Amino acid sequence: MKFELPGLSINPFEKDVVHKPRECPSSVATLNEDILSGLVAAFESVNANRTDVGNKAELILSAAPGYGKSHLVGRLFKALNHKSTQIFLTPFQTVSLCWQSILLHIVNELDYPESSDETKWSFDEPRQLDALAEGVLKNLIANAIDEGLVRIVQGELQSEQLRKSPEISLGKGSDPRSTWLRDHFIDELLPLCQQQLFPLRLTSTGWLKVLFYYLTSSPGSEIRQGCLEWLRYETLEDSIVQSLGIGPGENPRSEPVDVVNNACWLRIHDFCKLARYYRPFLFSFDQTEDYKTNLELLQQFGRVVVRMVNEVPNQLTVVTANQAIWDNQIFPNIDDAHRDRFSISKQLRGLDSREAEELIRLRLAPFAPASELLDRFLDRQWLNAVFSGRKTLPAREFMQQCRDRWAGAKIEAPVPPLEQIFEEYLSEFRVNPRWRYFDPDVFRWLVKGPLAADPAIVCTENNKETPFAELQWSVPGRAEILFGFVRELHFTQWKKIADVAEAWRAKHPGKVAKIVYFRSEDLNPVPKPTWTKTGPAIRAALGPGLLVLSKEESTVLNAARDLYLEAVSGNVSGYSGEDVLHFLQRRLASWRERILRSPSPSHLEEPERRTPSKPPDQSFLEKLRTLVRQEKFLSLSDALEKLGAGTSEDLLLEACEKIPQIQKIAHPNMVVLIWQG
Amino acid sequence: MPNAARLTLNASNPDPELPPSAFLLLPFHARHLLAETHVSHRQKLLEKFTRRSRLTSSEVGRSAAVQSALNELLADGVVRKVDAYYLAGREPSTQTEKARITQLLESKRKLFPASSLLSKKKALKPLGRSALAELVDERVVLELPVHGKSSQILYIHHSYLARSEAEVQTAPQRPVEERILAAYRDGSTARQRRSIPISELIQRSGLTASEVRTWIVETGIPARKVQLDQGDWASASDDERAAAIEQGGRKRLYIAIEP
Repeated sequence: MKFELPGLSINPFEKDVVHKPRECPSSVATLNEDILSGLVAAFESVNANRTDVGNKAELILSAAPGYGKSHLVGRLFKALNHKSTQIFLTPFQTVSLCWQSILLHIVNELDYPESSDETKWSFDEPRQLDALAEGVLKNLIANAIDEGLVRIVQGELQSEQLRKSPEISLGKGSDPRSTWLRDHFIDELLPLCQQQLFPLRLTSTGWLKVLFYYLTSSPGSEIRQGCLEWLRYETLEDSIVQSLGIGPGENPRSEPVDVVNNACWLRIHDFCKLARYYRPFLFSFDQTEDYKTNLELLQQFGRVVVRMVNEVPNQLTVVTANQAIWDNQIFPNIDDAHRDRFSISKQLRGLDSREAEELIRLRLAPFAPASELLDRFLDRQWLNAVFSGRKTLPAREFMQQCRDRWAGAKIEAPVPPLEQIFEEYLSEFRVNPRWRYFDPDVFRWLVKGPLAADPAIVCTENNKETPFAELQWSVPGRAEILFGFVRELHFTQWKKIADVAEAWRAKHPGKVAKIVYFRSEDLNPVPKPTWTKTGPAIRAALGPGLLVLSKEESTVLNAARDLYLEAVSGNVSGYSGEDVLHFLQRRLASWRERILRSPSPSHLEEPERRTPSKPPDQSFLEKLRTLVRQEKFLSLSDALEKLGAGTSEDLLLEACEKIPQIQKIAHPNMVVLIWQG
Repeated sequence: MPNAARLTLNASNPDPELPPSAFLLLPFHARHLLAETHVSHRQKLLEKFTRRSRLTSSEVGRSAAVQSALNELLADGVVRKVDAYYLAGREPSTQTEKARITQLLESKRKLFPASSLLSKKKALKPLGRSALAELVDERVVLELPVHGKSSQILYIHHSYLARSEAEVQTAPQRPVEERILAAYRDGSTARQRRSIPISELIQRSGLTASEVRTWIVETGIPARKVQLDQGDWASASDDERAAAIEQGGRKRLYIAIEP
């Protein structure tokens, strides 16, 4: 028997892996409810004691893949909506710069909308960083009012209003109180706020200015980008340092590596301490199975978690893993002294038959199925057969049973080829621009792993030439390639690297010798158009190695990494991490050739300038929201047609990011927008 | 004493109790004339050994004739010396030490220090140590390191872990299901996990793999008492894979048993 819904060409049970917790679909409330409430209670305890350190990392294990670890993290995010600042962390790939890697993830995660509440929506939904900055500044000002340091002589501004009223906003508020706060912050209110921070012993006095300028500058502006760079501990250009009014000593350094890594750790520490004036952080380390492949990284992971729980206040750390891998490979390799920093594990359980039935109803609800179809699908005999001999089933295993039933498969569907699975991953990465944000660990893994899969290539660590390169490929008689994984650097640093690139070329005559940097779409161009003096030299020396990625190229490389991580975690049915690695070695072979290719003169040409796309305006967002709400579900191409001329796919996808009620289900041949409200 | 050139005699075994080597190899002089006295000393000594497989030096006798016969038997491999003299094949070995230590550990539900498990006899200590190490490897015995002023390792028979006295007293007679449930409780407690590898359940229960698997398939699953989980095939050991049970078209490495 096959099932169909009018207008729906996809299988509603197709999507059975939660890649990122924020995309977690509706959940069965009773499933693993005890674990969820235990985590919420642990978080409440952190919230009640914001200066304490030493809470153990909460360990969540599943007896097999498919029990919903990432899904549980997604539910935890929803449960702690408006109570926590939520950070989802994937495995880092470097020991020496692990804190930098974590800090980059944190700042990227802070760009997610503050609210995942599907019932509320506003045009300019604040980001987590907006909310954090507003919260900290408003609370500090309110404290100053309470202590009598600020006297309101005219008008009305009470501390409680300041703490609770969303209308008062330093960033976007247009009422007189907000305007007054903005106008008087730097000269009058800032010192009163700064003095409250002395006991925290923050490593920088620039924090409040940076948060203020971040809030009050427009998105995409140089000042706002500068604030984000400062938060990521990236060196700022002098003009930005001046605009922010911070001392030259507050400008982050770019080298040496250990100093940068330690400074990033201190940034994370400061973030959490400052957040005492707002909300605690919730850190979730997922896909930890990847660490089993590298003992050095695994041990560093243990040290990272221990340092977080021992030294960072005002945060809860959650670690998820598969039990077998955790017990046999990860835990035994974590230093003895670090093991007791993990809580007694909480083990996920599967769905019972009542919960399974509820899950089917939840999955089909957005498509408003006829009751007759629903009854037919929920046939008791079929459910009894599925649960024959067992009380519970892992959620994914049950979803796969549903998928087969929907498609009318009489026998278990054969394992699809990896190429087909990879296509599904690509579809997901195409429609989620945030998943393509620059992540240096993706490229570290590619360069050490699938791209280096040629017996002629010897990949080694090399940071002797410059602190901004980490790895080297040597191909005897053919090429000497250095790889760096930096995000943004000061132009003086790029110039230094250009000099190193020239010297490297001279050192290896007759060979392809260059320094390669992957530059994804969200990064600044190198050189920037404003670097009029150094720009040409930088372009000439580094041009051959600057791999400026198109949207599709970023999609392929990021999806490759995710496919591998999911396979290592056991989430790619029928394939191990090794299988995926072999597949990617073939699939990405052209990248190897591209990297080893001799430079062509075209690199000297100034690259075509990317014009930043215009963000969707309020009327477009409202139009899209109304359309999807009315239709309940429709394909992306139908939505484009109905929204009329001038609507691009990128604009529509960007708009979807701003409307939490719209869920995207991506398939290789179709993207479906589903109303979740 | 004649030199020890040796030959094989085509003679029938004079004593069916003796091992074959006792009549296949005899000293050179035996071919010619075995003095009546010598034969009788050797014979008497062998008879003594057949009555008691272990004899101390004083029990053997110290006369020159007896010592000469003993030396012959030692040289022929009919008798072996460990801490005392033993008829070949009956001397202590790692296997006999394993049996002795296991019996000792099974006799009481207590933690034994190594000193009380190893023989007091110096010559037997290395055998005891090897036996103990093998028992630990086989998980028949659990070792618990105790750290304090003087660190030491204590040992306990696996069947005593997390069981009540009553269960211990009835251990030898327990039916299969009871042993499986007890093994699951032990494993689950020791690992602090709800699901444990099926291979571990087999090992802890002391039952054969087929007994455990039969119980799971014929009793546990139909009664919905067990939850089988896939675990991680890639990281599983050969033992774990061998113990896997197929359910719903998938091989399951782990088991949880409902209370």
